[in-house]
Amino acid sequence: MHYERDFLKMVVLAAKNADRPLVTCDDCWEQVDQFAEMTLAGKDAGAALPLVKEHIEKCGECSAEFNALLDALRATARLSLFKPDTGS
Amino acid sequence: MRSLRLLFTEEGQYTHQLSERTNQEWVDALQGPEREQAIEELRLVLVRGLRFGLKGILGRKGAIEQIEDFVQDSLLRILDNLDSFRGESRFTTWAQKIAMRVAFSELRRKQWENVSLDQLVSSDPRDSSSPVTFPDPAPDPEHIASGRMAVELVSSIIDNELTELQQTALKAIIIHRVPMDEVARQLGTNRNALYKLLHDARKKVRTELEKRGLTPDDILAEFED
Ligand SMILES: [Zn+2]
Repeated sequence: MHYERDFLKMVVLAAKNADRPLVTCDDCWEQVDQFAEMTLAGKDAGAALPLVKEHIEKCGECSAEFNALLDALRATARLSLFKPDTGS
Repeated sequence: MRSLRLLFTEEGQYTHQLSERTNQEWVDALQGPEREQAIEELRLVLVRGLRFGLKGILGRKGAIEQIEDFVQDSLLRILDNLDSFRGESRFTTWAQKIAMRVAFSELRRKQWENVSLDQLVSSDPRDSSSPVTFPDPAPDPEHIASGRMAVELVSSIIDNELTELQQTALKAIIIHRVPMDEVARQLGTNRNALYKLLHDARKKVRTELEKRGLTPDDILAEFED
């Protein structure tokens, strides 16, 4: 009995990356708002939060949510008035 | 003093006055006497954010009623979880992150609610008579032999070394592209636990290959044409 080659290839590719640190969807979720703000501010979000970057690149669900969040933040940038906590 | 600004929709109509708030002021406002106004303002932000964020999925106009529903659920979730807001991003960014998760979870659930994982996975082509196909021109016999061996080896690792749950999850996600939210829901777990389960499965496959003196790259080389 055997599986289709494409499936096996994906499984082995996944196995190849198994020694990378485990960053779960929840770990990513905790920081994805910061990651999105940095991205929109033109900062190197990947350097600041490398594990979030890595997870988004690997996880289709988190990636879709992140990209939609970016679009949402762009669309509401003028609406979501923000006053910094300090100096106000 | 809070400063107020007039706001305009993209069509140029005056819609509302939104208050400028610090993160702490948002949290306070949503729990204080101006709660109703703060909720209404947050609702406007979330509706607009979801309309644009989900444009690719729901279309340009979006299903506005559907978006209103997502926002309603999101507001409840946000108000329930104000304690967990740590101020690491702007409040409205954090709130929109929650709204996006609510919307995507609901959309995925609706898309897959009538699909049974068991049926999906049990219908996978997997009988012993299905031939392993090789591209033309035919590779040399040694390559055929080792390529076939690689297929059989990895298949047997999946069948014999992974748990049934791991097998089902891998097949559902890789072969059938079922979103993890939905796989998790049907397996009675959550996306995070499922992610861990898949990570363990990956490690297991790797360890089993290593036990046989092989690396994933050795196998991948056999899968290349
Ligand atoms: Zn994820």
